[in-house]
Amino acid sequence: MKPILRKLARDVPAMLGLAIVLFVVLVAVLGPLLAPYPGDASASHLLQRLKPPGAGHPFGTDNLGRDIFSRVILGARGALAIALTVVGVAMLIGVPLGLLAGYRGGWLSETIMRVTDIVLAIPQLVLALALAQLMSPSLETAMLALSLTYWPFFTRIVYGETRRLSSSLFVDALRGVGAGTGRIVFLHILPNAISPVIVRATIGLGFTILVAAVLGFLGMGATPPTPDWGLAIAESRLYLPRAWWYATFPGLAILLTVMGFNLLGDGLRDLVDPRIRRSR
Amino acid sequence: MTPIVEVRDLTVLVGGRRGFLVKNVPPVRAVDGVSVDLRKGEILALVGESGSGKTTLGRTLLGLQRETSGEILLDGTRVSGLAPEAARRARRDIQYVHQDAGAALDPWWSIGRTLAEGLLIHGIRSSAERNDRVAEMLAAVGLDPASGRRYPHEFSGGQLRRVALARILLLRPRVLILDEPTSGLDMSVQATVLNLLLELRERFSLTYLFISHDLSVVERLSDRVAIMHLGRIVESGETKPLFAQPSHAYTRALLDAVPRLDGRSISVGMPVAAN
Amino acid sequence: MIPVLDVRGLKVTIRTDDGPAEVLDDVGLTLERGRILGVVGESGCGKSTLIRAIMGILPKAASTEAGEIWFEGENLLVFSERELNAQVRSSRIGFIPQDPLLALNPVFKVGTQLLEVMRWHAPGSRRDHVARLVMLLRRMQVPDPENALERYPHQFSGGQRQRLLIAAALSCAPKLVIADEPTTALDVTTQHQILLLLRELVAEFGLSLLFVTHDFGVVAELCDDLCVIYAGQTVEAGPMRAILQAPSHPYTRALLACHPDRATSFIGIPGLVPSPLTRPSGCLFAARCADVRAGCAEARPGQGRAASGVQVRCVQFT
Repeated sequence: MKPILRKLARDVPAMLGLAIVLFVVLVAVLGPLLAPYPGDASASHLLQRLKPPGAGHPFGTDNLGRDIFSRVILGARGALAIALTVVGVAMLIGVPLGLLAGYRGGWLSETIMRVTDIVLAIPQLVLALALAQLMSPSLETAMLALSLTYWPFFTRIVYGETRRLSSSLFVDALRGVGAGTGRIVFLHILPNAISPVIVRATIGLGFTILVAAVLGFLGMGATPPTPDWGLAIAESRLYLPRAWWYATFPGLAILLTVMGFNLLGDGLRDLVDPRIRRSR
Repeated sequence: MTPIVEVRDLTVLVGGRRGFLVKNVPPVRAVDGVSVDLRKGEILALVGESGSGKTTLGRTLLGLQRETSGEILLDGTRVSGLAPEAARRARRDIQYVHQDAGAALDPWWSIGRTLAEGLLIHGIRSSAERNDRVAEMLAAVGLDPASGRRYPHEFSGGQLRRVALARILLLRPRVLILDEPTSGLDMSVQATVLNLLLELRERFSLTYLFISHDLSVVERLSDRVAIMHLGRIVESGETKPLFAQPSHAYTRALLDAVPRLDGRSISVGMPVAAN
Repeated sequence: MIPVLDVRGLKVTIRTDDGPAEVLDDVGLTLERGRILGVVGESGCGKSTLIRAIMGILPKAASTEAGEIWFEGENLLVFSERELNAQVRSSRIGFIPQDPLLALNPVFKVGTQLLEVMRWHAPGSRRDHVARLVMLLRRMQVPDPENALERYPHQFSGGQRQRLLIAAALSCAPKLVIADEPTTALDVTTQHQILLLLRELVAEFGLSLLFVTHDFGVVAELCDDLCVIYAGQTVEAGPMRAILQAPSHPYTRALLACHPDRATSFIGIPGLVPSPLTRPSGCLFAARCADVRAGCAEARPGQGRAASGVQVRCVQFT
């Protein structure tokens, strides 16, 4: 473990990413405690609408007089919640399917992989919009749509790794020793296959936040008065360019968070590179 | 006295795919009508080059590869004709040591855990008992019992071979199939491994099927030898006499090709056939 | 006549996560024109680093602390990367790698890859190059040489691939060829044919061959001279027959005693090679030496000579 962590520590962008991610997590967890105006999640103060950044409101106020700084902080929770849920559900669907398809070949494997290919072809946003039409547009609908389109990535990765590992020598040796299929797949193949999944999941968290923000912007995700970053940008459209602060700070929050996850994911990917894995 | 393992007219076809949107590929006769006996306590060497079928024969005896036709008897009882998982159960007395000992270990598991796993699979419920037996076996193969906590990548090639041996010896086998146990090893390490194999044979009353292409080692170590070529055994018998007076042309060609420490160096001008 | 290759006092250190590793410490070898020199050592002795140093492809973390590599009278260590590429690699020093499968790019035709090397390093037109390659492939007894260039690496057997690489090494008519364990991955009969072939090529093309291996049997079959390396040092060097028949250095003796052709029983050499990170201050073999005496663990022995003229790094001969 230690040499891996040491290697990660030397990767400056990855460390930066890790710092950002930890920071965002902290902000999300402590949200209401950090925000100077926690009530502004819902309350409005029309007398203070559209004030530029200044004393008492470092990020200014929005069209309903709510403190943008507080709303950005509070928005972190929602963003992370969406990301974790979507990626979590996608992994729960995708990883077992990948294991199943990869370990035994045959028609089951082929069927699973063809279904995976088909779902991969569906654009996330389009499905989200379609679902929003069928059911009512809401955060839950958005999360459902995103999970349903993200699981194939995990299936593909796990399928490839499982296939490779199934024909590896140590699995052969395990069969020789008398290990059954369940033991081989869950205790041996899965831990070996999980590294690229973690990398993909990390990057997926960032990606999901971005897509969720877009959905929020389109009005297909979070609904007002939720302090959602994408929603805030949508609401700010009417007041640009004068109230520049209204769109800028939520936008920066999205940028920073997604970048953090991407940097961390890239760093993790370098770590789990097979070359390094072998000499671990 | 019945040999411990008897192989009668064994044929194994591998590969082959029936076409449905895929090209028809005919299977290969990796093992073609092989009959051989393994006597208790002996070291039988199986010699052949790549493509000779020796590895397939080894895996089939072990039970990981299904026979196409022919019989395998263990202590006089028929154990062939079973599906892989059932075959492994019936042939628990036969274990296999891979050529690449390190690759046969799960890189994410400590070697202690890997060693104990075999015991767990075969019903040893008490973790204390498992740990005791693992420590004992590590010492028996010449490794520090405390090294059970370490991971495969922390060991050298020679040490990994010992770990592999320890792992299967814990399962109390009677027959060991050793696949190229000395390949890739430095000569000094090779000598130690061979010495260990001889010691273990004594200590645990083992019988070895020694698959190798290194004729120098085979000549020194084995009691009997079987030469394989293109799936068939072309010649077999006691090692010393066979090497001194080979009858089959292929055996002669193999022996001629072995680089010897003392004696002839190559003469220029001999016709060379490209393969 | 000056030797084709004369390595003197080569010392290479590699920076690692755990500190500096003295991978090579005073390695020397001499390859005379037209002869085959075997470089023998076990894993970790520094053979690969030595080869890389000669070819100028040491990793970035490596630094050459001392020594010279004289190739036909010029010190290769002072050449820049560009000069090495333009003047030395392929055109004057050819290289046969260990694993033909890994050395060839699977998605390009064999001809494309071989011709690319010639385009950079050999004079003449493409037609000349193709003609030379076909001639070489025919000499290597690769079947159907004219069409072989149009095929992909996976369409050849292991032995044939190694012949392709030998042809590649000779394509630009080098004077020195370095072979890095080229027969380790091959069957014994194939190995025999390749060794025969190399012997013939050395005579026919007037080459000098540096052959790295860990197999003494191969050395006995192929090499004229021998150089034994232990823990980054040359411990014994001289004519092959002399060393094999009467090894002087305790390590050489112990190693040869392990060979199945000579071993009376299987013992091995007790102990382990000292790690390049923590080399002892005295003789590097002292801890495992059967002839160790007082003073061996304190001071490093210099190079001496045995009665047969063989160079030995042992206190018994200085």
